[in-house]
Amino acid sequence: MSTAIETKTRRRDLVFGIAFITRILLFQFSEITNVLASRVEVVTPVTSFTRLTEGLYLFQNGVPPYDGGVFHQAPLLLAFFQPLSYLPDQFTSLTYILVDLLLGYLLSQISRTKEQLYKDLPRVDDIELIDDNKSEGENEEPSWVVAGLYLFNPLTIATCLSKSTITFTNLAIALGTFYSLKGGIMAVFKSYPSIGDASFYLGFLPIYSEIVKYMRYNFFTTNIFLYSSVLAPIFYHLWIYAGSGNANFFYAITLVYSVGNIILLVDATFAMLRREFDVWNPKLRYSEVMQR
Amino acid sequence: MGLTYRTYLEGSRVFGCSKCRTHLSTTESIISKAFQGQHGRAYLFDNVVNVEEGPSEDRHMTTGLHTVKDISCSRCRAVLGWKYEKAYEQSQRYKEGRYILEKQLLCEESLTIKPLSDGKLLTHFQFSIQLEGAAREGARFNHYNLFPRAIGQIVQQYSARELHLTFTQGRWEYEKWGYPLSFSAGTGVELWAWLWKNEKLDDNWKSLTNALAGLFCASLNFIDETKTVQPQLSFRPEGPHNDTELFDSAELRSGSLPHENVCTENLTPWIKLLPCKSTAGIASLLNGHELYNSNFHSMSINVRPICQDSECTHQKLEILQTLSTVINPVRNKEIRGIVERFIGFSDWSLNELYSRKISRACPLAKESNLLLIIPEEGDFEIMPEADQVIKGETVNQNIAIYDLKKDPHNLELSMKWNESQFTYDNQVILPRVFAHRYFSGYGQERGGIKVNIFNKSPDLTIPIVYYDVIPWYLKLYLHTLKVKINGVEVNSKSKDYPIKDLYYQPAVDRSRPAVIEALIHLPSNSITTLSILFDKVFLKYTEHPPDPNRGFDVGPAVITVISSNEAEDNQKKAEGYGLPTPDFSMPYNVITLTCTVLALFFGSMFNLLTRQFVGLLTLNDEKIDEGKQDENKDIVDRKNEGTEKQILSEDK
Repeated sequence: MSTAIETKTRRRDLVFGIAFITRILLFQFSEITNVLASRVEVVTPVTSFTRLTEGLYLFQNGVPPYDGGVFHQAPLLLAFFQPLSYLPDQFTSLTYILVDLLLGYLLSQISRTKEQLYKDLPRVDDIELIDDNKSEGENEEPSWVVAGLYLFNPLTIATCLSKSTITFTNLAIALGTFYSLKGGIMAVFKSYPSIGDASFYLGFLPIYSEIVKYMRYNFFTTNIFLYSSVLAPIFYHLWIYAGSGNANFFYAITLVYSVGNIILLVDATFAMLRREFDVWNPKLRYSEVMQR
Repeated sequence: MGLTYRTYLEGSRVFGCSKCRTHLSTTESIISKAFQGQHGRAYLFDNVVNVEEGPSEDRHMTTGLHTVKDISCSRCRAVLGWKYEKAYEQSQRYKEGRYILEKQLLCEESLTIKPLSDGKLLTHFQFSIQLEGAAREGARFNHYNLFPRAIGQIVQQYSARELHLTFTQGRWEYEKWGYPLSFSAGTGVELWAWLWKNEKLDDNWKSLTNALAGLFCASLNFIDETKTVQPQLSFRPEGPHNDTELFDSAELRSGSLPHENVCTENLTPWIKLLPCKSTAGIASLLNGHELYNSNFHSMSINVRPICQDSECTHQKLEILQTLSTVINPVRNKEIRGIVERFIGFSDWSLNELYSRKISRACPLAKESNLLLIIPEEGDFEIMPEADQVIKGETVNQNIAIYDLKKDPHNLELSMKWNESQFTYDNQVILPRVFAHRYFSGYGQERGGIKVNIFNKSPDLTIPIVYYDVIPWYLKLYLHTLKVKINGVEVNSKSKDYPIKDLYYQPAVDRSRPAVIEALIHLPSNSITTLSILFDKVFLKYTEHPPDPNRGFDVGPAVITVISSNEAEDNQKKAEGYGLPTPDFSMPYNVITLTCTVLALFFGSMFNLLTRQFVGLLTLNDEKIDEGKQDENKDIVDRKNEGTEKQILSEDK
């Protein structure tokens, strides 16, 4: 039993280590970070690091940063980045990496706390308690998987590399969730959505891994995400740079992206309700179920 | 011509000719000061000396019919007033044999012609009208005399200290043409004014733009708060001022419309402000067809105080109207040659340039001159001979002067070059300071501004003020401002950093533009490069102009050279650029499709949350459930309807 926990700890360390090294390495390629920091899908006017730098520059030169249409971010961020601006750029990158890892850690902690809370609640026996013989430690959904799924999500990595300040917003939400353990539609209907929002709530999904098993459109949703993440940059290029496509192209793909998000959300809700039904009606497990 | 006798007068105060100071009369001879002349206040004198009388003619005056003779100065022949020969009304008989001397005619006109090095021709019209006692705060205008009432009323009503309005089309090419004869302005309309400080200052500015819009048929009323700026270092008053008094009493407002087109409907009201309109004097050359068939034209109105005496204890108000055009006689006279495709000549004559003639000088003008700046080199002939030749700015430069007052009839000025065809001179003497501004980057998402400022002086560090107004829809990032000297980047902490003072106003969306003003010391013989990056903003679809794909215009940057003798040169360039355009049928798509997606979300979610899950059991399965029958609240037997299923619902 102790070896199992040790294995788990080692795996967790491995996940965080690899995530850290991946980010450090990717930060060395300034072309990648520059491109990401200027992509419309990744950064928005309220999370852009360029605008944060501008606000900081104005602040340091005696121009009120909010007296102008460029800087719209929280004063706390200004105060936080003020000392960082005196240090070399690497420290800023390091901060973003650490905050991202902290987010991963928080998610794994949330997952563990949730397991503790849900331990006494009824389960769907033959799916979820199938490994009854296994030790207690292994029986729980390993929390490092949750952290890993968040930290190795390409959307998360892109957001971190773009130095988007949404990382800090997400950190605040994660901290809030961790201390209250209550959960987030904002990402779908936000006025300036970016992939940082999606990457964060996708991070919450593995915490409810039991729900994922009940979801019907996993394949379809995954494809929509892949489809829109390939086509969105292409359509944006056609509209803004090539001039061979108009604004409708990009609008259409954002619409597809939000349809994907909606389907995911609706599907998750369905899965949750359907699982509850099974929990309370074990007898009806093998019979046909419909909505009335 | 024999000798001219001149009488010298003695008295408490002697009146002289305004032009040559020849004595005319004394205060003792004044009978009345309450006369109205043709162009303003006039005095009635008992006796006048040193004048020549013209022929008798009958004139209808406000006081009735009189027979009068014009009198002119015996020395310089300037028209001074008239002598009453006969009055036909009994009450006016006392004037007979007496003289009217008009107070100084405060009006001057001149036309300067300058052949440029690339065969083009600069013609610069200038009209100046002055008004005494109007250059104070809150001054009431009692007599307008020749001063245009339309402008006077605007200046008075909206408490303007100075007013400068310029309509320009085309680009002044500094490298080929040198500096312009008056301060140049960028393409479009530019307005700047110093307004007397009071609580209504911003209202006054708004009203001023509206009044001028109405007067000149231009879109000046579109200079709203999103286009109005208050430059801190540029646009100092042209009139006499000291800084502390100025900033205590007045404020500067400035705005420009780079997209505005200039045409005859702006020229017509401009001509109407002239005392002789376009009926006489050099203004009779102003032919819209020829003026607008030019490479560059710039029309301006400048209202400003000027010193009345050398100590500047008194000031008067001057309205200076200028009109500059750069005409291309080489192109206009192109003929098909034998070897090369076209052959051009730089020969010109006034009649060819404007298809009009100067019939006579404007009789209201004190001076009416035509100036020709003679090229320093070349084989040419100027017809007719000048009345006077004076030295110009440089040692070798001569200026030929033709006095239109003296020789009013049909001056047909022409210049012929002894050459078989015009050849372009590549040995251009560059001006000391000039600049280029570019937009960098591609695509419609972001870009940059790059300015190269050249200082050609071999040994002088020249201080300049760089002024640039960037519309709010280009979001500037000041932290990206980089300075290079001769291609080498200079750190802002280095002592060689050329920006000595920087004033920056960040833009606010839909309410004000960004302003950069920098005091820059240009090192001798150098190229100073400024660069800054910006993001382009996505505008609302209603904010696009009717021709969105043409792009938007950014006003010119202004470079003011602060030289040791306080003379200033302005250099301006306007640029155009494109913003991302939406598909204008999009609002319909967006509304319908977004609503569909919202409905999809709402429908599915509503469906999930309001309906219950039920298990479907076949009748064969019933035995499994028998033990628990009592727990099930709702069993529906559908046998009668021919189905074999029971629906079993569960409450959570």
